[in-house]
Amino acid sequence: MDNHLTAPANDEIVRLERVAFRYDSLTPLVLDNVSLNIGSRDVVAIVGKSGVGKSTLLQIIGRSLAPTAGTAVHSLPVTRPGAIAYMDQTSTVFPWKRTRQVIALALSRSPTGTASGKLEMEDALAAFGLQGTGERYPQELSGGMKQRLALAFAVLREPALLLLDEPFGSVDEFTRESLYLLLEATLIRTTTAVVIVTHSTSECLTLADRVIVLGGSPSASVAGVFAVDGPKPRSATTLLDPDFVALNKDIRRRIGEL
Amino acid sequence: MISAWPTNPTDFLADVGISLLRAGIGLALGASCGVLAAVLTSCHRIANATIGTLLRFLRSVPALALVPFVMLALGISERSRYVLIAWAAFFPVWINAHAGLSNVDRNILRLGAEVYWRPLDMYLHVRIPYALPFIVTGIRVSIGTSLILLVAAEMMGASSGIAYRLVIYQQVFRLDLVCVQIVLLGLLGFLLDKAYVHFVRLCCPWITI
Repeated sequence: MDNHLTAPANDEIVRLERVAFRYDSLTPLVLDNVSLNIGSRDVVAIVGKSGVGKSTLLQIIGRSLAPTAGTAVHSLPVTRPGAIAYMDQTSTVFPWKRTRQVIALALSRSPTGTASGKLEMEDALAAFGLQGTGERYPQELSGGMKQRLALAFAVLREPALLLLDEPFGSVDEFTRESLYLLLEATLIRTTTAVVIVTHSTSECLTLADRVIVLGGSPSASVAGVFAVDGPKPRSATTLLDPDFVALNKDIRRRIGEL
Repeated sequence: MISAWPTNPTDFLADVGISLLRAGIGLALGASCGVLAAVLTSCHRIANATIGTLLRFLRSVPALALVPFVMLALGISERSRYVLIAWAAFFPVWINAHAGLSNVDRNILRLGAEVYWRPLDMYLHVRIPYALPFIVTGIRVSIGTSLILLVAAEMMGASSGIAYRLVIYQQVFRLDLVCVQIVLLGLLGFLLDKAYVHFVRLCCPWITI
């Protein structure tokens, strides 16, 4: 596997060049010399040990933090309002909105009005396994349903950039696998780029085109980039292929070395 | 008329009606000012340090001590009764709304900012709905406090109302009728609370009250 940054050929939407970041001047740099590119339709996974700065990097990519040094370039599709959607494992939705209202709000924010934006309400509910729950409030939904609703709210807006911070950490294995399929099925019709922070190498291999290993102490930088080839969707059994097993080992070794 | 038992039913209904009206107007006035003040004190640190501090001082003045002042300043009128009741209703709403508006869940704020881009929309569609359960609780508390001031206001120079009647009966030593008025006041508070809970459940089913 190569250690080079594989820059997307065209329509690059985020570029980080030698980015460094510290939270305040008294602490050491959290990130140092991080460079990466994200193009539309890319699915990039960021892995690394706990506390290494993955979520910090995600926030720089998502423009909610500015780098201390280096440059973060966000191109036009990412800078318009509402172009970035963020989701984590808290499955946050507005407690005062019924499922139907949440979906309607997401559909109304879809910039193109095409693809999933054209989904009728009932189709959207059905696509996310939420049929029959339209009139319910989030607190009346099960954990898995709430997570699907949060995912629907993020994806149906067709953001230019979807940031996922360990989004499926709190759901069980089978729900997680159905969420993977759901995510990929919805993204296939959009130009959304996905950056996913995760602890799970199998999650990387299932979803990502590119895996970025973040590591180094005290300041982390890009310690390895692995391309993941092979058709999607990838199931749990796909990951048992020798190629994927070898890649999984490589990634784990690289994380472990740091 | 005073010695009659049971009380003249039209007088009786008129008393309940006028007391209810005073409580309602005062509550509405106080609660809306409370929410507005909370929006102000929660929107900026400096507003909280100035307006907030002033309000915290005013809150520690016992409301009953203001009765003579308001009666002198605004005269013995309906207006001064509304002001007193509103004063009592204001603080519970303000305190609760302020707490709700200034502690909006960070995840909710972030999610809101992704779909609402103007500050006004953030207030209308994210902050205020988030604070609504707090505001609802504040108003519920203020129903109780406003009744205290209702009694005080009606005892001073009113010529109608449940508490006015209570004083009249006391002056003619009708303990039985005094008790009737006391029970009536209790019932008024109880039913107001019931009606309020019902109303909230109807309007905002997502709020547990």
